[in-house]
Formats: sequence, structure tokens, C-alpha cells
Amino acid sequence: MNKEEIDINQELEQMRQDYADLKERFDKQQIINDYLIQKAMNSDIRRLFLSKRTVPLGIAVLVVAVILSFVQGYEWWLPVSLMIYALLFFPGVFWAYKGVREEELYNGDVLSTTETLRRFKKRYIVLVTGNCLYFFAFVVLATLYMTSMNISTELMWRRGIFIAILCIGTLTLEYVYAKRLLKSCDDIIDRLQMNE
Amino acid sequence: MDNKEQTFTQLVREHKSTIYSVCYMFSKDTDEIDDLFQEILIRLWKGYDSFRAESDVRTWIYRVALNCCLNADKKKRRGGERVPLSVDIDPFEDTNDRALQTKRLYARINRLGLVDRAIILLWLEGLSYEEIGAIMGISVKNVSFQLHRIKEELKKSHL
Repeated sequence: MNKEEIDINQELEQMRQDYADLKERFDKQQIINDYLIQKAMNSDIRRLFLSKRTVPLGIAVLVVAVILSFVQGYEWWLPVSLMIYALLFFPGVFWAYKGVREEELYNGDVLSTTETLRRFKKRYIVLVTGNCLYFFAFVVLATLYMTSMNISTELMWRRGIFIAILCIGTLTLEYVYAKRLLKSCDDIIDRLQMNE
Repeated sequence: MDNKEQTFTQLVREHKSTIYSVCYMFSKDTDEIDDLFQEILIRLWKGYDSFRAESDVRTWIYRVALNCCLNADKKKRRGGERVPLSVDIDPFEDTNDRALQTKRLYARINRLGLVDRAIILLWLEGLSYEEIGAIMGISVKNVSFQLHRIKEELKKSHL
């Protein structure tokens, strides 16, 4: 064994000793109390995307909106677009969450958990993109329809442009954010699979 | 408290310093430790039913804790009341001899990437290659390769 190897072995042994001391210091601390544990038991986990309550609530809101659109005698395209949205979006949510049981997600090993998260995030981006594109198309078509019916005003156009900018902005932010998260997942997976 | 809650409370008390050490190695300040610790506790509680079918409690705790530290979005802060942990030392700020020793260890480990940090932490805990593999989801051969590579990294940063 050369001097360099002896040095690093000593260094690693020192690290182990330092770590044992650190654990001993932490062992002497109370760290948790009954209130903290009770609070954890009563708290919900941080959701990846939508909570369990959001989906049925969203469906209920859409159903009411569609019924109201018919009852109020709005143009046919409004309730139809809402229905198409419901038919596309909610199956999309179930597709994105397929195989992801959030309560048990982190119980798995690091590699499989990271792979599941990466798959979810990729599907989530598709879902967000679809949402924004649908909304954008809806605004464009609605504005064109109103123009053809001569009920469009300059204010409506301004609102349409504002909503379009909002869509593009949201999409860009989601992409930047998701790209960062995906990169971190990719780094973990690449590292772990380096020698497999 | 029912029986399940009592068993869980006992389990968490037994492993509190392990969870705290993991949080410390992946945090930049005590607020972040509090947040991570709380998230790990919640994840442990939510997954407790599925764990009881498994055998090794230590492996399960490390899996949940490391998954939280590596995969949880730390910027997405937990809303509501933050409950500070009952710790009368500040591993980031204290300046006595033992604290300096802790900081030295923290600095060495923090030079490594996230995955390497997790693996060396498990090695420092004295876990076997099989246990490290089961936690990280890799083969024993790969654990040996990764540890060799990390030790080389540490050697480079030491020189």
C-alpha cells in the first residue's frame, strides 16, 4: 500500500469516526416530540400534481358549467368545448398518475422511485402542454367566431391576446421547471446505472 | 393513541438521529432540516401499512428518507405551520471543537453529488453492500464499483 492509499484510508476512517460522533451528538437530542409526530400523522403528503379531491371537484364544476351553458341558452360551442375538455383532461390525469401511488411512492428503492417520478413528470408535461394548447385554440376560435358574428370588439381582441400570452408564459414556465426536475431525475438514474 | 400509532411513535423515536443525520447531510440550513424531517415523518406514516409486510425497518427508513432528500422538491415548501425540531445545537452555526469536526465531515460529503452523498452516507452508517444495494436499487457489484469511484473522488478532493 503506498502512502497515498494509506492517507485516503486514514481519511475515510476519520470520516467514519466523525460520523459516529455526529450520530452520538444527535442521539442526545430530543429532536421529536409528541406534537410533531401527531401533526405528521394528521398531515397530508405533498402532492405531485392534483389532490384526490381536485379531480371529482373539477368534474362537478365542469358538469355544472355545461348544464348552465345549455340552460342559459349560450352558443353551442361553449358547452361542447367544455365537454371535449372534460373528456380529454380527466383521462389525461389518470394516465399521468398510472402506476403512481403517492402514499407508497417513496417506500421503493431510490432507482425505481426516481424512474417512476421521471415517467410521471414526462406525462405531466404532455398534460400541461395539451391543456395550454386546448385553451389557446379555444380562445382563438371563440374570438374568430365572435368576429364573424360581428360581436367582437377591440376589448375582446385585447383580452384574447392577453390570454394567449398567459398561455405561452405558463407553458414556458412549466417547461423550464419540469426540465430542471427531469434533469435531476436523469442525473440520479445515470449515476446509479453507471455500472449495471 | 391506538396500537399502530404507538408502535410508529416508538419506531420514529428509535431512529430519530438516523433521520436527522440524513436530513442534515442534504440541507443547507436548519429550516430545511425541519421541513425535510417533517416530510419524511409524513411519508413514513403514510407508507407504514405497506412497510409492515417487509422485514427490515432500517432499510425502509433509509429508502423513504433518501427518496425525500433526492427526489422531493425542496423549493416546494410545506404550507401551514412549521414545527421546529427540539434540537439545542445548530450543526451549521456552532463553533466548539465537536461542531468543527461535524462541519469538516459535512464539507467533505457536500463536495459530492447527490447520489454519491447518499451512498457514502450509507457506507458511513456501516450498512452492508447488500443493504446499500437494496436501498439504492442497484446490484452489490455496482455498490462496490460506486464506492470505489466515490473514494477516488474523495481522494482527489483531498489532494
